Amino acid sequence: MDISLTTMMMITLNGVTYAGLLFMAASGFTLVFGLMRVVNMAHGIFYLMAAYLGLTIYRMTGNWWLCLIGSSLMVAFCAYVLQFTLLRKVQGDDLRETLLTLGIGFTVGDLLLAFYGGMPQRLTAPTLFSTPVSLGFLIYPGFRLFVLGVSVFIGLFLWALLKFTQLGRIIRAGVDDREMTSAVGINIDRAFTGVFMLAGLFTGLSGVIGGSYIAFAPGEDIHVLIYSLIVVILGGLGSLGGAALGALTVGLIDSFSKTLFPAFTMFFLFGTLMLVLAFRPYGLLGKER
Amino acid sequence: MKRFSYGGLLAVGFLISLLLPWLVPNFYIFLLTKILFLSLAAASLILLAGYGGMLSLAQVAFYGVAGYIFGFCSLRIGIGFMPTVVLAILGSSVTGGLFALIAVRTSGLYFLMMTLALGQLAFFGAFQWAEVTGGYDGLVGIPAPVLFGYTINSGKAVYYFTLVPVVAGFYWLRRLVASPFGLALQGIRDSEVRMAALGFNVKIHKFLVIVFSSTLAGLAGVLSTSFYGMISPQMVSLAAAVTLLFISLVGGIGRLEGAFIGALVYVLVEDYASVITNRYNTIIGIFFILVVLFFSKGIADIFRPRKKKKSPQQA
Amino acid sequence: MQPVLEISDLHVFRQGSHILKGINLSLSGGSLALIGRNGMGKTTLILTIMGLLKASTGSVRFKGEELTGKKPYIIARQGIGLVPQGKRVFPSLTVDEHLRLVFNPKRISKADSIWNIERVYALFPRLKERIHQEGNRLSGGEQQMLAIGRALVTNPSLLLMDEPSEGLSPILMDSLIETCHRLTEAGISLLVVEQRLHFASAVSDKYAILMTGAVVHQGAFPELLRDPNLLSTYMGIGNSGES
Repeated sequence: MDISLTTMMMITLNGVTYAGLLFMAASGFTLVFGLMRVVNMAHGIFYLMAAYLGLTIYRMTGNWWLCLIGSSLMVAFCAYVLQFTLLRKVQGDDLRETLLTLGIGFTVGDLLLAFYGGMPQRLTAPTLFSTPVSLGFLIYPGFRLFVLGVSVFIGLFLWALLKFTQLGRIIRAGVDDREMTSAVGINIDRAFTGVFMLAGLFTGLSGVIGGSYIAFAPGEDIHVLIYSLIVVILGGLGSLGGAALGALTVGLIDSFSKTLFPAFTMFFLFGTLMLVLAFRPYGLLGKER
Repeated sequence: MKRFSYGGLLAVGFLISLLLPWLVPNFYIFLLTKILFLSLAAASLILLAGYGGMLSLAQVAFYGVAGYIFGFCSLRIGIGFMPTVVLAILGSSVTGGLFALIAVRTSGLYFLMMTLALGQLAFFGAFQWAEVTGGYDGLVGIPAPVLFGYTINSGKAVYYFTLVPVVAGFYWLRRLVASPFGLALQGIRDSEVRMAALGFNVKIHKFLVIVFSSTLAGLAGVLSTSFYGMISPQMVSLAAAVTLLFISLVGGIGRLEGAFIGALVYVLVEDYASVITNRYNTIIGIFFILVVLFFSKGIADIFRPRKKKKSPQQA
Repeated sequence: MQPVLEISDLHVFRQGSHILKGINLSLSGGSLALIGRNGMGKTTLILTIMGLLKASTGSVRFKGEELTGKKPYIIARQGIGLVPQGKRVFPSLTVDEHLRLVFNPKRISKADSIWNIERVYALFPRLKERIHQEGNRLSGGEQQMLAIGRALVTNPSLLLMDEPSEGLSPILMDSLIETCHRLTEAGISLLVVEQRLHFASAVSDKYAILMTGAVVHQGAFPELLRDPNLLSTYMGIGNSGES
């Protein structure tokens, strides 16, 4: 197959920008797992919910930025409510918490189908981004560059949060050893709620942003969940850097595979995961806990 | 003595199940048949999760592999009914074995995620490999089974055709969980570390239970495909896996018999609720959430078969 | 005088096993050593006091207040510090981050002689030298100091120490003994779980022997060390002072 250099660059850039989106979604997810040991099976639903809410907000206001902020905040709020009311009731039992999120994801997924129907939808990105940008060797959609930019910003924000703030220290200590973190007098319950909300916020952001250039429909939540799981397991649960690395890997594999061998994408992804786990059972940057 | 009367209860139950088709209106026979193979599938999950402590979302994958092999062979390759069945169940067993090779190293949440991955792979395979699996529509028009010259397509015939393997499966399961293997398995569920220290080969036990449960799930898949005359990716989806998990939880994941109760509840809900609303998935989801929230002090209790408690325990 | 710590008929199960079978213990100040062979439930007791394990029945009272059923961070805030077995410092945090994470001046009621970060560095100058090292880059002795320092900045009135001398060289052990004396002099009660008799007797004058989940003997150290019967019955020790 003859692929020109420009096409190669295009595929790579697509992979990198998709990696940005994946990182946005997976960053909260990995922190939730690292700190709370809960696989938030409703993670994909947060993404989908944000996209659909964005649709409704757009129909009401016609302003994409309002969708972005409004949707993310609403999803963050839902995450807060979920954690505070339901998850806390079963705290201490990680398996049960995970099953609870599974049930919630399942139920909300059906409700979204009921409200919005099954047809694929897409949010309309602001016209600000509709002019393609010239990168010298090729011309690339402006919105995708925006996605990349936002994800880098979020990455830096989270890195700074973890490194310099008390919340960041609490999260890092909690990921290392949540029992000891509690034993030194830190209200670990509040930390859990905070991290879960943060995860909801970023996943919501990724939902609106992703929904603006990738069509979404019921079932997309599963896709996001699976991809996020692969990213996070690949990178190492609880590791932000791992999430970035994992996202990059998945984004690039996905982009190249979809262009060259579309039917085998899933197999490439899972195969890579198995390969990495064979050599590094806790992920690329993961640690034994 | 208690065991005698319990065994007696089962015998009575079995007799009733033999007579049921003659006692109930024809429509209900279909529901009963559904309950039968669904409970077998749920029992395979209960074996793995309740007795083995390995919660799984992959049972539908094994169910689907067998179902698709059965459907494909029945439609395209006429090798006779029994060989097709054997091939199909072998397919699910082998899939289980291969999966187990990778998965035995993991447990708990990690294992659950691996099963999720397998389930998704199966789902995507069913979708993508359209030449073999029929893609979105799946395989339809699968001919009714022909056994010893008889075509099994009446309600009663299908019921008995399903009943026999299901009862056999359950009987085998009961023997298994009471056997040394079964007891060791439950020990592993309670504490892998302790069992390993006692000299048990934990990995072999986990490997075998995955293979056993995938075989049973495969059998259920064959029965279901015969019943419906079709199989589609929907039956291998995450929704299907969650539904099966729900059936096991509601019935009581600690006991094999819970599979029947769970399947009964599910079939009734699905049948009655779908008359009123399309949202029976929401109903099931809410049920699921309630079960997880309120079902005793911890899901470990759900897993643990109800034993007479020797000493007071706090979960 | 109200005992600092009072444990009554405490039963604890772990994974189905009955580990603590009716513990009765009280600490009235100063320090108490919990001794006994491995696997007798000493760590289980410490973790239960701290709220990291659930008690089945029984009570643990700290200065009169019931602790069972409370979350570990509540118990920590009430004035109990934990120096756990294996030190359990946070691998991702530096020495300084450990202390800054834990030290919260708003939560300290005593106005005078509080344990702040500087005081911890004064007690353990070595830690100040390693101030920006992550927890997993510290030596065993340094981790021990950090684990103690981390517990100290919660300003506890009772410090639970589980096998603090484990893995320490004789020099470091002497240094640790001195640290413990300074802590008791500063008014902090100690409950020390130890297998090494000579260390236990050096930091504490009173002992309680734990055997298969119950307190079987209590007293003061000089008598224990002089009685070979006691030593062999409960500690499985011959004539040497080592376990």
